[in-house]
Amino acid sequence: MLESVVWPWLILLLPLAAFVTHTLCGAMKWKLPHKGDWLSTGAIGAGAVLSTFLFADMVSRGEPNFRQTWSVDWLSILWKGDDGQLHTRFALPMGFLVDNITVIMLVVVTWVSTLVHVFSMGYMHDDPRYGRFFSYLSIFSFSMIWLVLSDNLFGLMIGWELVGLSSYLLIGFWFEKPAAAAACKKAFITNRVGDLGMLIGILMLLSMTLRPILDDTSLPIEQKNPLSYENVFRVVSAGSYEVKSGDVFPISFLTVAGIFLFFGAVGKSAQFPLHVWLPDAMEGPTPVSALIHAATMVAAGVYMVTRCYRLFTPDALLFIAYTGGFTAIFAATIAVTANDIKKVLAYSTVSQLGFMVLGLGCWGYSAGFFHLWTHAFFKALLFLGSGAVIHALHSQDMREMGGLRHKLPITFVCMLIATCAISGFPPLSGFWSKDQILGAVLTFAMEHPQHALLPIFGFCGAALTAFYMFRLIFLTFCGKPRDPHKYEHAHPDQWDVITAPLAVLAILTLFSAGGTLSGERWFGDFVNEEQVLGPREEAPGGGERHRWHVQRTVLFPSGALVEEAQPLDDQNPLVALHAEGREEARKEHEHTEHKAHTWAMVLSVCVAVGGALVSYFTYMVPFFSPQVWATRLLWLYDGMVNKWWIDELYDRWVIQPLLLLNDFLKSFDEDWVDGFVNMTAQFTVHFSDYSGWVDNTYVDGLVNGTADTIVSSARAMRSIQTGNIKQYLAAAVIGLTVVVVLYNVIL
Amino acid sequence: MSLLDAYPLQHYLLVSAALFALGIFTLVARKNAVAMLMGVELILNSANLNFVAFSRYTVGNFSGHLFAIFVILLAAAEAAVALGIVIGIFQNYGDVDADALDGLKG
Repeated sequence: MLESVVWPWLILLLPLAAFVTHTLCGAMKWKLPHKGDWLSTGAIGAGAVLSTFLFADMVSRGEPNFRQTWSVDWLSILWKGDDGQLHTRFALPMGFLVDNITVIMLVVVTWVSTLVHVFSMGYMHDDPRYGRFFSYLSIFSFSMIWLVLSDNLFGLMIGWELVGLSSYLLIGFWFEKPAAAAACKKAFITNRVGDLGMLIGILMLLSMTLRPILDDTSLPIEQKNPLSYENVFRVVSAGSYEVKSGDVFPISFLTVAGIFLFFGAVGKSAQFPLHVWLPDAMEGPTPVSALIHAATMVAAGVYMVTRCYRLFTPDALLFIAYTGGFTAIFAATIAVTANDIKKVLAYSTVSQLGFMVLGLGCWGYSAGFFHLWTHAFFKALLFLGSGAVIHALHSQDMREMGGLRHKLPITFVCMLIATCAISGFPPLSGFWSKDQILGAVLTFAMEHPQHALLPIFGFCGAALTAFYMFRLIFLTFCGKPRDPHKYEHAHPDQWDVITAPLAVLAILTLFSAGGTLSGERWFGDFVNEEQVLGPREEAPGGGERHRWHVQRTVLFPSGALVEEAQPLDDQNPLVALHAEGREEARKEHEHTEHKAHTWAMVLSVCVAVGGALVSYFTYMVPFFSPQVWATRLLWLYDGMVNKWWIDELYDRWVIQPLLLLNDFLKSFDEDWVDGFVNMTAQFTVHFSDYSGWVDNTYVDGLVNGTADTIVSSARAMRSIQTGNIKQYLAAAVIGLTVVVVLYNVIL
Repeated sequence: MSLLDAYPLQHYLLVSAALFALGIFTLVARKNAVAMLMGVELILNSANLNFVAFSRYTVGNFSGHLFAIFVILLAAAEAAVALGIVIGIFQNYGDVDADALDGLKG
């Protein structure tokens, strides 16, 4: 089944077909029965079934490094060589890549999407734009599947932007609400900031990969794609890092490219400091929050980092780790004081995404991705559960809830399972994945003691997670109803399209990690960094990863692998030493890893139970009073409640300066550019005035003067014409006399 | 002694000139159109006198006389026409005062 291209095609195109049908019917004013909800749900449901088959096939094969790509020629740049033949300089084919990561992402996306579709049938039932909602869900599913299936960075970017667009449409689905309209703009613009970084990163990679491809006419067409994952990895892998034309990119160039690429993930996966859009995106309908802002789209950044893992140098990964770690604890602190049930979940999502990124950054390749897998199910469950609560109660404020477990027993049980999972209680799925991450972080910190802050971030974040998630459960479902009126009017749970997806997700939450105590192993084997991506030491800068002392001190004293560019063939006597050192380092690493994982397991259970207990003693048994502690730790509480003033900081230091710049540019435009144009116009007007004056005064004056002279002289002359015959006669006589006299005088 | 010897040409010419001057004076000074016609007659006759005198003193034949006879003839015709005009003027204006006839004044 995996060898056939039909199934990925079907999974990709069914939601697109549903979207196109919705759009066409909308345009032609054809009414679909039930507004077409069955169409979208069926399309994605079929995709889920197919993905499951692919997944089962992949797992049963036991080949974690299975890869299959199909591509079609989409854009080729040709040139005429010296031999007069046309050669392909480079090509950008569009294609699918099916491997273990793709299949896992497909399962996550299609299953969560299907359940959200089903849930929406109940949740959005009374919405006037019910059909449009499903068409948006379909275009989102299509975009996300495209993103996941693409075999090159360019296709990934296309899917990335499509996902951003559909997210914008869905967040702003209730665009009548000003808050929703503002939130969708904010999400879109914040993501653009990250995407710009990602684009720069892709272009930097392109500058490295394009050169060796362009001039090599012997390469087959498949290797002419400068952006396919395969070629990018090939070029940046240690051997071919020095490009043919003699240009050597320093490893720091790759580090910077990786950090820029990661900026895309910072935007999409809501990492600090671009996390601000995700809490605001809660203005969208709750199924959207479950689909986009918990399970799929926000996971795209983590997916991208996983997919491009070999591109990130140790320095870039360190940057990633600190970003993720800080985000994990930072968002968790905000979630502690949030009162809106969806806001708690939103900040929890940001925090959990931080965990994934932290795990990836600490070289826990399978750990971060594992957490994506488990988190998708329990976070979607939490969001859908909160949706069920909101649907029943028509309120999102936890201060108006309480005691709902009697009214909403199914929702309560499902959400309790998800809460235990996210808090990290064994043997639920969240425990395994979080334990993997914390283990990786602890291993990293034990090998690099200067980064001891990272496990502190991790464990504190985990404790806070347990605390705020149990706070959510206690405030919502336990105790006495704080708003008896709302409680009385809440619709009780029943088995319908709202609770059924919750139950399915609860089962997935219980068993997605494997369901047994050693459950995490299968995922670790399935997505194994060294098996899938090849040995670590062959990665750029890989020597640094395991602190191979021998390699560092003997082979590459500076620790830089590429810049030295020393020959590494069998004749080099240092190679044997290198191999020996490698073996030694590996053993040492495995020992540390084992120790760290044991400690991480104990510690993570401790912090989870501790967080939950503190929460219990705060909100169930009034042992700690939240009010008293809020006043005691006022500075901390202030920061948490005000979300650490990040929005205000942005407003103060980004938005206002931009507006000022805007004002300045506007005034420049108005005063200077318009001024210049107006001045030209004024000059023309004045010149015209002057020219008109000259025309009127001098040219007309000349003409009129001539006429006036003639008139006035004629007027003078006419007085001679007295009409009196005697005067004429006298004049004639006098004239004659004068003529005669003159005649005589002159002659 | 003949007339030719008794009076030289200049005498005739002086008389003629006096006649001409009187005619001009009459034309210019008199308001009455009929009187002005009379002035015209004087001028014509001064010309006649010149014709005859020059003919007699310088040429010696009668061609100047012939001109004088023609002039007299023409003066008669002219007088007839001019008097007709004067009558017309009188009928139109009720007067024969030449100063009042300024219909051509510019």
